[in-house]
Amino acid sequence: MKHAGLHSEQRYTEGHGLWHSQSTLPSLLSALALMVLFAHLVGCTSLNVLSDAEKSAINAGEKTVVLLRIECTIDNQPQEPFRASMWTGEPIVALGIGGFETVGEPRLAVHGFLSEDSRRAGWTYFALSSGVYYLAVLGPESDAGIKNIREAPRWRVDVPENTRLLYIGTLPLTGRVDGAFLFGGKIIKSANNEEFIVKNEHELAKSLLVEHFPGGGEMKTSPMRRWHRGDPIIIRTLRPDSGR
Amino acid sequence: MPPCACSLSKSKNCGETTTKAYPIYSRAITALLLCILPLLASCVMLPIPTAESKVLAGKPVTEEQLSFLKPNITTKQDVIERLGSPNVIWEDVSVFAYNWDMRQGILFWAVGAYYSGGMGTMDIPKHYALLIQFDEQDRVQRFERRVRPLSQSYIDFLKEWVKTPSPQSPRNPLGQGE
Repeated sequence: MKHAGLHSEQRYTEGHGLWHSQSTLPSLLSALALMVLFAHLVGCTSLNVLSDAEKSAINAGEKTVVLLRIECTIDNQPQEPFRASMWTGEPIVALGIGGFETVGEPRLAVHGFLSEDSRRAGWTYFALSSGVYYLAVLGPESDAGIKNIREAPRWRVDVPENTRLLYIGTLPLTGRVDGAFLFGGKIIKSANNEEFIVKNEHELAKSLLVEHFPGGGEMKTSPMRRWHRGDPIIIRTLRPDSGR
Repeated sequence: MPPCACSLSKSKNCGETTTKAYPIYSRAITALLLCILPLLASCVMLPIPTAESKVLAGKPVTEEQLSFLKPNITTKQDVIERLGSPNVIWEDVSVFAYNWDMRQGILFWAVGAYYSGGMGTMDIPKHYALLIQFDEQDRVQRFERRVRPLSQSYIDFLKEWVKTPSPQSPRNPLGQGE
């Protein structure tokens, strides 16, 4: 029943002997909230390719592109370590970075991809200022995204000053399938031994960085070094524009 | 004009268009939920102080162990030989940090919700640090055994110590941070 004289968005209905209004505003707000949430999820889960702002910062020398490759094999079969979005599957490799502000304690890191093809091949990058960092790598594991990154193996990464392009090595990770989930999907467990051997694919890294940063100058290679519990954590004060 | 809507509206004239009529049930339901929720969930947390007898992390450095530290005499190598590798090295300001945690209390917690719940205990740590700063010749310039407040981040704790020179005394008579 629509009552004369009321706002067009409101109606009075009779129920249980009482009159109450039924505003359409809550349903509109719900729809709007759902739309915002969906847009946020899409934004969060789209491929994190280098943005123009990041490229500018790197070209200006404010940040260094620190390139890393994860070579992932599951039961001796190659496996993409990084997903394109959350809708394509759970992450099996998680990366964390710790630096000056965290005194080396790694936090789950936002890392990017230079292109879709390079992502599939396991190449990823961080945009960092010069300094000492500790890279934590967790996986391959089915629940890599929710495990404690602080417990993961770590590597020390030195980002020198006046460097725009840096390659820190290729890290092979191995895993195995250990059953299946109730509703499908494989349970993946890490099969890494403690003897991680960082490979040097200098030429491959160079060709990739030159393609995306033709004016980025010479690429430096500084393989990351394994850090073990009990080794000192080394920190250096971050300097503004220290990437120049 | 529905009588209840008229009484709810702020309009003096019930014949006028109302734009602020609220459903009767929503207020009642909200009030009911607010009454029920506290009954459904409860949480108890009780901190119990204890003596600092349990080492939670690291290797404690006692005051007696600091007796070998002599400003302008003891070298970085001497420190490493006596105390081992530090936990943290702040390179550009030449600071070594040795960290350890002692238990200062136990936190008892219990949570109940409807017909189930849980309880447990956790240790309350006290964060100690021995901070040593070296000069350009890698000789001890100053050192201090301090306690980091639970509310302060580690990096802020280090920055604060580096910024504020403290008296060169192994006994730390001013009791800074303790």
